[in-house]
Amino acid sequence: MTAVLFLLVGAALVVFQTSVLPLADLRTGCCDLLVPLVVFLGLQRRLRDGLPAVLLLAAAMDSLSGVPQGYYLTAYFWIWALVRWLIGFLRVAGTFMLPAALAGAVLVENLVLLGILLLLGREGPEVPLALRAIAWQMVWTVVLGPVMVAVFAGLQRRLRRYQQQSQARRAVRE
Amino acid sequence: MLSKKTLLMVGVILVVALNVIGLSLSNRQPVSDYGMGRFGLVVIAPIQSAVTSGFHFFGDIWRHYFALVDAARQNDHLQRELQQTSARIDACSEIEQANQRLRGLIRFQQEIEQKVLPAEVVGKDPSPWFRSVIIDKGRNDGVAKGLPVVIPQGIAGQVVAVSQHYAKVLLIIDANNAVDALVQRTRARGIVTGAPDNECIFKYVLRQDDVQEGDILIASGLDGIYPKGLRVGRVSAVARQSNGIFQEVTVTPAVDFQTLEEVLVVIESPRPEPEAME
Repeated sequence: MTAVLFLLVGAALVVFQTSVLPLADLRTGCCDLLVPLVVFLGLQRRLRDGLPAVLLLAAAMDSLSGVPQGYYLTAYFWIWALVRWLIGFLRVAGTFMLPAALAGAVLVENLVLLGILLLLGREGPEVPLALRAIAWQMVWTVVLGPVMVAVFAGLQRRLRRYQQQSQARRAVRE
Repeated sequence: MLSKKTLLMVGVILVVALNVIGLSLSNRQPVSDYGMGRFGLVVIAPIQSAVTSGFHFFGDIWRHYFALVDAARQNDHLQRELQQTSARIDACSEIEQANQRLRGLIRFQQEIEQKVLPAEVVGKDPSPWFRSVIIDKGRNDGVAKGLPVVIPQGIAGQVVAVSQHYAKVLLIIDANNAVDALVQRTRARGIVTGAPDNECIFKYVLRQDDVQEGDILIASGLDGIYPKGLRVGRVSAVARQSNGIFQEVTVTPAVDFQTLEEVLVVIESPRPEPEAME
């Protein structure tokens, strides 16, 4: 149920950032809105809920983008895996750690791209341009990310409450 | 003695006579400023005034407050109508613009020799590093991988992935796309590929080739993908380095990719030129 909810949320974000966001024509560009969701799934969801959702959303992004096939699958998987590894010994949900984790996720996403471009022998973007774009992506992610993670957490709480209430109702009926 | 009946009659006649005389006398003399004549003005008029003012006051309240409720309601209604009209005007303006674009596409469709299929852009690339769009026509409509996508202003890109109803188009501003192109004026040949900031680079143009700023680049048709003669862009900068056999040419694409909304997929790909086949 939770995995389905976050798949739907992810799908809505994919549609938003491919159909609505380009209309805003932001000079600085925006961040990948799915990164906060992937980080959240790594932080808050178990492997069996989180990983399938992450992989399905990555596949959707791969199919909608002109990126080398498998880029988003690789990037999101590694972001998710690193977040899960980090929460083993760090309290990532803390006030300062969450923005840091989100900024790190943006960095991982771009490093994966760089790796894939090197692997495929393709030309990457010019360094100053790339650095500027990555910096803006980080700024957007650090600003929007914590808010988005809070919204996802709120959604999760509501869903959990709804599930508990419907379980209680079912128990009373039986 | 007079009877009671006679006395009553005399009394009535006297009262009538006094009344008539009184009326006749009072109409002949001017009204005195004192006495009963002034009573009305002194006592009744202020009450009249108060009552009239009261009526006016409540009348005003009615007109300016209670009636304002109606006015407010009317205002709301008019504002709603205004909003609807504004929305309708916006929609009309949007339709007018779409109409102009579509007319352009139809004119272009008639001009171009190949069979083309109109499609709408429904999504743009989520990655900042790659330039592609999603169109609302797919395999079921006859779209296939590798087909060129154009608009009246010039070449937009080529289809790189297809599903039943949708297709992904890699734009010519993507670094992974390449168009075999010619300078229209001098026929100097090279390859146009994508570059950052929605620009293109005209690669492999020999140093001795005559290329100047403002020159128009057209598709050569030699790549077997894009129809020959379609505009690719305009040369925006030329840099000839002291060494090397090629010159660096920057090209501004003919298509404004920020506002790309409708495109034409060339269903029948152009046949490669005989010289290219050789």
